[in-house]
Formats: sequence, structure tokens, C-alpha cells
Amino acid sequence: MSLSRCGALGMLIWMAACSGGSAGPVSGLEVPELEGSEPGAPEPAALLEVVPEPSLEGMEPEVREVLRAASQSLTQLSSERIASGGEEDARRLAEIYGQNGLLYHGFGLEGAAAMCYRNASRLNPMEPKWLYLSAILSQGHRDLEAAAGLFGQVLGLDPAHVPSLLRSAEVFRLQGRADEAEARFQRILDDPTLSAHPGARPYALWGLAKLANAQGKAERVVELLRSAISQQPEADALFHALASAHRRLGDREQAAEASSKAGAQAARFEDPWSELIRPAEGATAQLLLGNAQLRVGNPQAALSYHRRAHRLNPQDPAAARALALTLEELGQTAESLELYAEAGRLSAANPLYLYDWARAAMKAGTAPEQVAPELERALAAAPDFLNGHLLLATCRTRMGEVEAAMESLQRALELSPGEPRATVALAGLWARRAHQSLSDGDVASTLQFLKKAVELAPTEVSLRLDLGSVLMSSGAFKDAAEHLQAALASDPRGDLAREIRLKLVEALLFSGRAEDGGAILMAWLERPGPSVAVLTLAAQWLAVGPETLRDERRAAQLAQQGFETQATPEGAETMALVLSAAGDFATAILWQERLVEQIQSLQADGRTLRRLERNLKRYRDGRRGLAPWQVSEPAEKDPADHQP
Amino acid sequence: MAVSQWTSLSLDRRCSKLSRGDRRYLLRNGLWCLLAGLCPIFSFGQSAPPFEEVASRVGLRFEHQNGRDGSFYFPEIMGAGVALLDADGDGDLDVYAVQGGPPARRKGTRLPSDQLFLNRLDKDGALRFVDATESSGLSATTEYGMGVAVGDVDGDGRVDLFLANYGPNQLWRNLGRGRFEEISERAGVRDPRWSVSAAFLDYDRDGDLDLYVANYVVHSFGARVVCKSPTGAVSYCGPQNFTAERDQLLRNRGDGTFEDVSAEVLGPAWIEGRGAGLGVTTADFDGDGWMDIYVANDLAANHLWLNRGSVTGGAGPDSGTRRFEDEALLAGCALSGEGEAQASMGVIAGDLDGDFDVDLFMTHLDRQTNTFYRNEGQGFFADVSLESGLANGSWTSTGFGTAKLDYDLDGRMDLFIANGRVTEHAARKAAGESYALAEGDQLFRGLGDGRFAEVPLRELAESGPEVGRGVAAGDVDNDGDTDLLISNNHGPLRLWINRTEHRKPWLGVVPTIGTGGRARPAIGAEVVVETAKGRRWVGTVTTDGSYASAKDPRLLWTLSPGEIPARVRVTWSDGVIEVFELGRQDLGTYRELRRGTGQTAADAEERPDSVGSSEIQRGGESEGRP
Repeated sequence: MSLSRCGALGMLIWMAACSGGSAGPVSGLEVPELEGSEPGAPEPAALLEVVPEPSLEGMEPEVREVLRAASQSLTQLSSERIASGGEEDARRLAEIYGQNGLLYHGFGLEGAAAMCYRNASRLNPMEPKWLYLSAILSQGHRDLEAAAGLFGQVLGLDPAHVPSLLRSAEVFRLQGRADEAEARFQRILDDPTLSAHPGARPYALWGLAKLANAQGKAERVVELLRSAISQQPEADALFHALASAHRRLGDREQAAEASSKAGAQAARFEDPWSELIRPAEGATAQLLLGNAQLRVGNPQAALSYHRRAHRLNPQDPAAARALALTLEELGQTAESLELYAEAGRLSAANPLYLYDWARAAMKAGTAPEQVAPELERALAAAPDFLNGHLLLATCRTRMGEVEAAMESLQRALELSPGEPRATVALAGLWARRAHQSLSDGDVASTLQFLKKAVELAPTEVSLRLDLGSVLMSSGAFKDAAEHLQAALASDPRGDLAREIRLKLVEALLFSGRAEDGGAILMAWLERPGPSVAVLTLAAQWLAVGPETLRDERRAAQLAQQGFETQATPEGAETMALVLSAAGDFATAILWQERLVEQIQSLQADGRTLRRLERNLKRYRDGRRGLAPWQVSEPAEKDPADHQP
Repeated sequence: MAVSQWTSLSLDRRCSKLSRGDRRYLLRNGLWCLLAGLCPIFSFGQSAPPFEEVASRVGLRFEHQNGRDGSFYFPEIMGAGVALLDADGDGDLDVYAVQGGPPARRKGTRLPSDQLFLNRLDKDGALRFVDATESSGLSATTEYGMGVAVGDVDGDGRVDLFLANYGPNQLWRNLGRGRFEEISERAGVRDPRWSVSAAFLDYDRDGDLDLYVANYVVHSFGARVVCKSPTGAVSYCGPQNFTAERDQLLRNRGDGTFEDVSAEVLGPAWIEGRGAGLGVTTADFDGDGWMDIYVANDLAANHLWLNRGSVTGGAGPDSGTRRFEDEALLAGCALSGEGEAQASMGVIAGDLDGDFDVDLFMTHLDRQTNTFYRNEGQGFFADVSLESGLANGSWTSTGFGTAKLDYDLDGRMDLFIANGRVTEHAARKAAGESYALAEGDQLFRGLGDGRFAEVPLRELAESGPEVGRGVAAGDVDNDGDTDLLISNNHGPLRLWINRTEHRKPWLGVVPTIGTGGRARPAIGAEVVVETAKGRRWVGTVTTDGSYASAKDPRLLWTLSPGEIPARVRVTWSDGVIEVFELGRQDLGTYRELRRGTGQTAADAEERPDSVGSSEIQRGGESEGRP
């Protein structure tokens, strides 16, 4: 650094110190030179920068105090002159600068931190720690050239400093100096002493994998990453790179599997000097540290930070809220609720805190009658508060106030059109009304409400299934088929898919789309383990369905398989049907007569009995029977009659 | 847009443009006398900066106001975008600038409106813009604006405006002659959520433009989150302090009104996968002929919505294929190569490495790379930011708007990035700077094969650091090169006119659909140009990408000296293919390719030298570069 450049920074401090002995110039260390200094003149051991006082504006009082004290200590230093030969004093000063650097570093005041580290290094050039921390700052800023130089200086002092080897290798990689990076990572792996450093091996393997990836060597990447992951299983971020390598190799399944395991934790190595960076003091700093821990799913670690933040600034509602959130996460509900309430008291104008209390209270089982007024108060202050309206709707639903709950949800939808939480909840309320109507026997209202529900939440398959079922029971098979088809399209492999598919087949068959229904059945039969219902329907379809697609023999096999699996009246009816289709009317009559007797004894509904008796008559007349879906009351269709 | 106007303005203004650009350079160097009468023979090389900032000089006087009052409201730092569009149908690009104002306005307070500037480009290529905000009716655009998208939603041949706002979104229908009316309510687009960017596309191939809106986060002034730095000083929040919003997919019913089909068309991935959306772009990423959507999310995994075509219905056990599936994670473009969810802002889709498939480039926060996802084929992407040379220049800046262009007319694609911080620079703030977010913009010159090198800003234009946000690229003076319109948060609008000397021929094309006065750019059409020498280029007609901005839909290429375009193959958004013959007469012009006037693919493919889809392969010798 030249004198003129330093002059631009402000006051220069010259300190005559560290002359001779072990404090002499160190190979590889950039000792600043004075522009225009005469050859042969004694070189200053260090050229110190004045660390400007950070702007304390807006900072919290405690932090201001800490930083002001730090700044004052440095100002005091600048006024001191260390006597020549005061090597010990220089080291002491270096330590003070370094400690201040760590303090600034912790608060994110990185410019000031860098100056302090530089001064510390100049005062004590044999101490690699300050160079290393300076290098970390540069690496963080992505000033790669500076970082590489500084790590180089550390390694000049301590060639086996593993963190510097690893970090500098990574810096080389980012600089595009692939060969140097590879050599450095490889050196770690090859040297048992270096690779014994905790975390060094997986980190170096990861580094080599990144280099291999840039060269398109996907197989090598897989090999390196698998090794790294096996040594540091918690480093789940490596799965992303593994997935990428599998993709390059065209292995979609392996890629998907690796993607599913991927997380945010990178490979890590033990780095004691970086841990010296003083965790920032002050309530907000503690709060942020806690929040960071909470975000990575570590509430236990967050708890101590948040407790400290709350203790340091008990008047800060954000600190109370953060602590409450952490406690809630840890299951300590009672204390959490108290703190939410406290945050609400501290900032009565901000409904966020009332909402938090209400949410946690609901979760803890507090009566909705107690929670609702607080939420209403919050929403009076912030009518555009989406989450508040949603929670109030939940509250009101639990209170049985369906109309009021619907109003809250409508308001939420005005604020956020299409918001799934609102649409699904509102659809659920319409469905609730529909079920009530159904139990009252009001089918028209049931259908109306269910249609509203489906309109709101078209991808909610259970609603479509309900609507389809009610439509089928009211004879609207075509409409039912449409809804069931949409339900299946939404979630073809969900828990309800089987039930929906069966209903859909029935709806298609009953609505005259026998070929469409049959196509589903036939495809279904290809899958292992078809249910009795499927076997029965398929047998019926093959026996008396579209003429060109009939297969009486297979129909008989399926009907028998279904009946043997589970003997049901439907199965018996189907057995008779397939027998009639095969022309064995005598046996069909026997089956059907026995079935009619049973149904009569069960006093089942008249419609079923009428259908069975009609088919019995057909068998006695030597005619093929009709499947249930070919019979509709009161006007009976008889497609089979049209067959020759 | 009166597309016929494009061709009538196909003038080669090499001389007049050079004289203006270099006149300025020479004046600065006291060499003006040398220029007199020497224009036709004078050659300057590249010593003059390639761009000249002319905004205020040509009448583009616009100052973005973010309304900051020391409260550090999050929306203040996010706006705003810009658009280049032919609002009055006269064949040149007009300018639309999105405005902000105090975000937490008191009830009844009217915010300043956006501004429309009509381009009065004269025959000599001299630019002049007229503020038409009042006469256009757009003075009523008084929401707190974020972004803008342009497209003809009702197929009347006039480009309409969609405004993504912090507050209800708006749709303004173009009535012709630069006049607009608001139709937000009846069009069904008045979504009050915080939207930032939007893209028009015909996802269902029904011939009209649908709309994808990237929404950001759930933000409430009432239930306010206050963010602080570790020292306790109040600062701007980031997306991690809020719940991310879901985006919105709006289907055009065919009459310029829309229905929200997000849930049914995007499906469970949409319901479960929130992301704070900032940028959106459309392209056929997997080459299946259907337009896909890519969304740049802030500090969350990005979305790659792959269009799976029609819903097949429930006809079989495995039926129920959705129209879109988010394949970003599996495809390798959701996160950086190291698995980091980056703070994605701006985004570009296009063939950036000349291998005939669609790559992605995205801008990010400082200390993150700007990321280049190279399309590896088979629907996979690889983060090649480091290898491409784009990473190293991006670590110290926060990128927002971005554009691909061939600024130096060497036939290779370059990248421009508008930068601006989102948190104040501590040291500069301590030194008294009142809004310490400014950063210098950047340009990366394409070197070929997907490699880039940063060009120092001082060599590009006389431009200082500003809080860059939106960028729209387009040929504002119709001279066959790409100019840049740049918006700055809480700062002035900039127009960088490209003054690079044309040493090589250029070709512009604009595929259109519709007849007579209803002709309009065919959004989603894929174009493959082939020269007589057999070299090819590929491009897609879009207006989206960048950050909150809308660009020129025309496609533009620089050819080698003496090279003649032979033909162009257009795949319209519904999959129909036509081939158009080109020739020497098409050089130095914007050639309109009207649907129905070319040869159908079947006819064209009978000819052995036609541009067939099988020839468009990745790799090989036919690179899209001279």
C-alpha cells in the first residue's frame, strides 16, 4: 500500500516497533512500503490504518456502547506511540486490533473488521490468525485475488494449516485455477496428517467433485460425492450435485432419489479461528442469530440466543415473539403463550402479535370463543391481514358459526384470489352444508352446495367424488362421469383413486358410454390384484356389453374368480348373467332363483328385487340377462334385446 | 401493433447513425472537422463507446419514485420495470415506465402515474419521444407499480398492457393511436396481491394469449414486520421475513377476458410449492412443441413448469396427466450447482451458447453467482456459471434486469445486467450517502461456445452507478441493432442507444398472425433462420424475461459479410410449420412473416434443401454464429 493511498484513508499512524528478532520481515508477507522511501533507510515495521468510527445511527443503545468503547480503544491507540523495540507492546496492540476486528466482524461491519485485522497483522506479522480472518472476509466478499494472497501468507507461516489449504483450494477453483485447486485438494487426501483434520476429507472430496463436474466427468463426480457423503452423512447439500451428475449420466431415477435427499447442509471442516469471530452482542444480533438457528431447524440452539435477546431488551416485542416461536417449536406452549401475549402488550398497534397469540392458543386447545375476539381486534387494526382472516374463519368454524366463517374466508379470497387455504376451507364449509342437506333428504340443495364446493376447489378429489356419488344416486350419470373423470385427472394415484375409478366406470356404463367404461375396466384388469368389484363389473361388461367386444368365456372366468374371492349377491347375480350369456339358462335360473329368495328374505329395496325378477323371467324365456347398468327405472332400456 | 409498419421502416441508417454516435465522440476529442463530408468513408473502429445514453435528450424524462420516508418498507426497493412496445402502431418502439410513490399511502392519496412516451422516430433515425401519458388515458395508472407485460390479449392487432402492481393488477386495452382504457375488472385480472413480473404465452395453443403472473410475498402494512441489521439499526427486509405468494396462471377465454386456472392447470405442485416470484420467462425448454414457463424465485427453488399438453381425462388407470409439472429440481435449474437457493431476480431464456436449445441466465444477489444454466438436452440443465466466465464478474453486484443482445454485432450473444443493491452499503451510508444502493451495470461479451468476458463499464457508455432494476432490450431506432432501456429504482430512466458500426449485414424478422390491421407478433413462434451457406440461428418470439419488464418481440441477427439468408422456418405456437424464402433483399430490414403466406412444412420438406426439424440438433458444426 502506498502512502498516498493510506493518506486517502485518513490519518497515518507510524509505529516504530518490532525491529529485529523474530518480528522481522516474513517471507510472503506483504509489508507495506512507503512511497519515496530511501533505499537503505530503516523500514517501518507496520503502516497502520485508522479505523473510522462506524456510524452508530439507529443502533440499539447496548450495541452503541459496545462499539463506541471499541472505537475509543482504537482512538486511544492511535494517540499512543510505542517505543522502539517494544515487541511485546506491538503484540499486545495486535491483539487489541484483532479482538476489535472480531467484534466488528460479528456485527457485520466488515470494512472496519478488515482494517483491524490488517493492522493486527502488521503489528504481529508472525501471527497467522489475523491474516486468516482477513482472508475469510475477502473470501466472503468474493475478492478472490485478495483472499488467495492472504491464505498464501498464512500458509507461508504455517504450511500445514488445513483450513487455509481447503479454503485456498476453493478460492482457486472459483478463480478458474483448476489445476492448483485440484493439487491442493488432492494434497489433503494424500497426506494422512492433513486428512486427519476433522471434516477435511469430505470437504476435499467435494472440492474435487466440483472440479470434475466442471470437466463433465459425471462418473467421477458420483464416485467422489458418494465417498464424501459416506464420510459426512449430514452434508446433505452434496446430494444436489450428486443428482446433477446422475442427470448427466442420463440416470433419471438415481437423480430423483438424490434430489429427494438433498438439503441445505454443506460439507464442513473444523475451523477454530473462524469460530473466534465474536458472536455479536446486543439484542438484535442475538435475535438474528437465533432466527438463523430456527431457520435451519435447530430450535434448541435458537433458544439460548432468543432468551438472551429477550433478556437484553425486554421491551422489544420482536424479541418476545421470537422467544415465543422457539418455545412453541420446542413444545413449551404455556410459556410461549405468555410471551406472545407479552409481545402483543408491548406493541398493541401491531396485530401481528395478537395473531401469533391466537394461532398458538388455538393450537394449544384454547376455546375458540376466547380466541375470536382477539383476532377480531387484530383485524380491526389491519383489515388486509390475510392470515388473520383465515384463522378467524377456523375459529368461527369450530364455534359452529358457519356463515361467519364463510364471510371471513370470502374476505381472505378478496385479499388473495385463489388462495388455496381459503378456497379449500370454504369448499369444506359448502360440503358440510351439503352433508346436512343430504341427511335432511334435500338432494337438490345437496347438489347445489356440492357444486359450489367443487367450483371453489376443483382439485379436491373427495368433493368431486361426493358430488359424483350424489349425482349418480339421482340418476345424472353423465354429469357424474364428468366430475369423476376430473377427480381422477387431478389425482390419478391418490388414496381415493380406486374408489373414484370404480364409480367412474359405473357412471360411464350407466350413462351409455359402455365402451369408455369397459376400456377402463380392461386396463384395470391388466394390473395385479383387481378387486371383486372390478372383476364383477368386468364380467358383466364382457358378457352383455357391446356386442363386438363380448367375450363370454372370459366373462365366466372373471365372474367365478370374483365370486370365489368373495361371495356376494352382486357376484351371484353376475354368475347368473354370464351363464345366460353363455346360453346355459338352466344353471342361470338356479342361481337367480336362489338369489331372489335371499333378497326377499333380506327385505331389500324393491328396485333390486324387481331387477332380479326381470332377469329371472328373461332366463326362463331363454334370453340373455341385463346388467344392472343396463336397467334404468322406470323406463327400462333393453339393449340386449336388440342383439340377435 | 401495426406490423406492416415494421417493413416500411426497414431503412439502413448506417451512415446517419454513425455520424451521430461518432460525432459526439469526435466532438469530445476535438476532431469534428474531420467528419465533415467524410461519413461514407470514415471508419472509426470501436474506439467510441458502443452505447450512448440519450434518455433526457430525446424526451424520456422519467424519475422513478419509491416513496421512501425512512420507514424501510420492503416494496420501496423492488420497483420498477419498463416496457418497449409499439403502443401507437406506427412501427417503432414506444416506452412505458412503471412508477411507484409512497407505498403505504394514506386513504384517498393519489399516487403518481406510470408514463407512456411515444416514439417520434424520423426518417433519418433521429429519436424524439413525446410524453403521451395524459392523452393515452394512462395517467390513471395510479397503483404502486412493479412490472409490466405486453401482448395483444384480444387479437385486435394492438398491443395491450398488463401492469403487475403492489396492489390490484391492471389490464389496459389498446384502443389504437396510443390510447388505452382500463379493463382490469371485466378481464378478471384485478388480483390485489404483490405481483412483480408477468409473461404472455399461448400455453393451451388455442391462438390467444394467456398470462402467467409471478407474485412475490404476502406483505401487510398493518401487520408490519420490522427488519434490523445485527446492530439493531432498521433496514430493508428480505423475502425470508415473509410468506411467499403463489403465482397465478390466467387462461384467456378468447375474448380478452381471463379465468384463473392456477389450481387445476398447475396442480398440487402449485398448491404446495410457494416461491417468492420475481422474474418469469417462457420457452419450449424440453423441445416438445409446448410452451413452458420458468420462474425466478427469490431465495427459494425456482420453478420450471413443463407443459405436458392436453389433460387426457380419466379414461384409463394412469390417466390424469396435468398440463404443467414443476420439474425444476429434477431438471437441475431450481438451485445453483452447489444446491443453494439463490436470490433470483431477472431471467433470460434463449440459445446463449449457439447449440439450438434454450438455456437460462439469471441474476442474483451479490456474493452469489449470476447463474448460467446450460441446457444439456433431455430436459436437463447444468450450472456452468464458473466455466462460462459469468460467475466471477457477478459476485460483487446485485443483478436485477438482464437482456441478451449482440451489442458489438459480431454475431455472438452478449449479456447485459442492471445492478443495484437491496441493502444499504454500510460504509457509504456512514459516509453520508442517503440511499446507498447504487451499483454499476455490467455487460458480458459472448466469446462463443457459451463463454463470456466482462467488458468494463467505462468502455460501454458514460454511465455511473445507479440502482438498476428493469431492463428492456429492443431496436428503438430501427437500425438493426439492440438498444437498452434501463429503469432505476428511485432514479432516472436511461436509454442506451447502440452506436456500434454496422460492418456486417443484419436480418430482422417478425412472425405475425392475424390479417389486415389485426396482424400482431406471433408470441411463442419459434424461428429458425438458415443462410445460403447453411448456417442457422434459432429464436422465439416473446416479450417476457428480464425483471418486471417487456422487450421488443422482433428477432434480430448479424450475418457475416456477403452472407445471404436463404429461408426461415416458423413453428407457430399451435405446432403448425411454415417455411418462408428469404434473399438479399431482406438484409437490413425487418421482414414480416405473416402466417399463411409461407409454404407449409409438407410442401417445403419436399425440397431437399429446406430447413427441417431434424437438422436442428445440439452440437455439430452448424453453430449459430458467423
